[in-house]
Amino acid sequence: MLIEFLEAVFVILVALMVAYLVRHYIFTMAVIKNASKNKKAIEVVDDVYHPTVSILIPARNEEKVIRRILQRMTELTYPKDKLQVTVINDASTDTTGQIAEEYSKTYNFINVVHRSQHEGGRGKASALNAGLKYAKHEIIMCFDADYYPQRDILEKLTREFADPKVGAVQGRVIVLNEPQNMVTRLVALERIGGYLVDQNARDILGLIPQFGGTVGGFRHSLLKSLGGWDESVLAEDTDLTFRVYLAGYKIRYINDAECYEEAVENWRAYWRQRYRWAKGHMQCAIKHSFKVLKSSNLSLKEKIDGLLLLNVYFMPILVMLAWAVGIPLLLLKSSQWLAALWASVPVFLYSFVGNFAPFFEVGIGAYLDGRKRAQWLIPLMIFMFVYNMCICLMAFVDVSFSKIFRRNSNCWRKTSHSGNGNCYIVNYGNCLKGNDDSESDSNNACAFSRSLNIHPHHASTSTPRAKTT
Amino acid sequence: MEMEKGNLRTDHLVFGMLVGIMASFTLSFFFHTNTELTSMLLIFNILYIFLTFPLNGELTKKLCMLLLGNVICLIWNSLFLLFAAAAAEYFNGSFEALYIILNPFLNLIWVVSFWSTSLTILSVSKDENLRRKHAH
Repeated sequence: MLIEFLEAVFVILVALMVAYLVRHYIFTMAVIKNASKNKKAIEVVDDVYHPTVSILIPARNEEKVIRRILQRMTELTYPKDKLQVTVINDASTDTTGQIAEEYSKTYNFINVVHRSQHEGGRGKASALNAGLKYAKHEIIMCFDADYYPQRDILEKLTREFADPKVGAVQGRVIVLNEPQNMVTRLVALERIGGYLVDQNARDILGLIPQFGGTVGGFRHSLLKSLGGWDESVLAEDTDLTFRVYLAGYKIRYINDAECYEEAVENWRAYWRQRYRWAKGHMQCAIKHSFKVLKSSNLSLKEKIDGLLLLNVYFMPILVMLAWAVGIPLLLLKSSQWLAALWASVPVFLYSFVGNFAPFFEVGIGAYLDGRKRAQWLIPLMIFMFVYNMCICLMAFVDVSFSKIFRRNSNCWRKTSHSGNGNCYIVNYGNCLKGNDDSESDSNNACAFSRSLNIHPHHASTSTPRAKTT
Repeated sequence: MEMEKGNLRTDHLVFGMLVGIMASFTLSFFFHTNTELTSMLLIFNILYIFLTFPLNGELTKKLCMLLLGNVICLIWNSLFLLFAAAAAEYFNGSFEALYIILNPFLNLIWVVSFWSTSLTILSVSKDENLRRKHAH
């Protein structure tokens, strides 16, 4: 009786894994099929639709990186009269506020919202909601303080809002400090799989591309009607993604709207960041799974994808359970089909490697990006999977306990940034000093290390212009 | 970063599937007594064909890599089986359980390593692309 029960559990778990495996394979093939179309689409630039844009940059103790993004804001090619940049100084105890104030005094489209120690430090969602009160334009864009966008990123992102059904957009995140160490290299691979293949495929297939919390934006009216960011969940981005879809709008993923991030540099920081994501995602799964099933605004394929996306952080725990059930089964009962299923479990395991971007999504993403040596690191991602398993298990226990005992255990542990990414931006020093003697070097401003194989997109430096008030 | 390659090579995929089916049948005919080896060969061929053959690149390169993968699989499994037999003798059968549990995982490590190396061989970097364009 017990063996039959274990068998049934094992088969169900393997079936679930197969569902994710098939989903990821479809995603990968969809991206390969559309790769050449994407290239053509990049060449089409729509200069007609330029809505007014408010950019929110939440920053808490970001003195090492805030200057970089603010300088970049001044270099954006988007018309400055249609732009408002709001830095939310979230009760920083370092010089973040002063640096933002310096920029605010020089550029009239940049302003700073200072939060006191009493108001601030309650997480990103809270800071963004504070900034939202001051935003006055049609589109709200969000960038994290450690990010470094392309100069024409706003043109690429905002053109999608010409379609009234589009409620939000998301751009691509690329790791800036990839060559720094093994952690950053592996995170970069995860990002390639997650954005170039996973997000891209969801957009191509008309499923649910996810708003990633940064390098993206919303219609102001929609965001207001949804009540802004939910401060009670840790993954406020995933939460908002599903609220946008449940409200009947779509999210578009724009692969050629690229932004460079400073990835976590050690395993401890990786744990903290992913733990927050895992816990937040699980909270969203509990909050939205039933609503997704019931929604009349979602098609069947969107519902299926939505459920698979919401529950993705439970998968490493289920894989663990499959091992726990499979091993005694193999030892207690020897059968051909069981041995075959057991032999296929590692395939499924590899298909969740990393931050659930399966190994072939990462590999094909790196292939499509024209990367060669990066692929050699793919086997090492098995360690990331084991690490992610532990993270998800801890997050699951935490979420379960907080549900059972009805206590709010949300604690926003901010990812700290070292500013080491600056050294991968050629000419960055000149850029900050305002030395505009670099016309000939203009293409180097955003040219990263050759080993990264990144094109210097639309890059040029510019002298800070005088405030015209 | 714009994507350099594209187009799903369905013709290569179909051809690869035919070759894979033939290879699997032939090998399982010769090694039908060894279930681990047969299932591993099957898993490798399915993974490799479905993930590599649809990509752009020379068909001959893909076929050579597939053949090489099958040969590595045979050698790896034969060596591992010899090691397992020797260890089982030494540990009085308790090693067998460990072997059954670990074998698929150890196999997958070389399968993924081999697959990622093949991708490196197939992929043409942007630098090479540029060099080719200049040469023309």
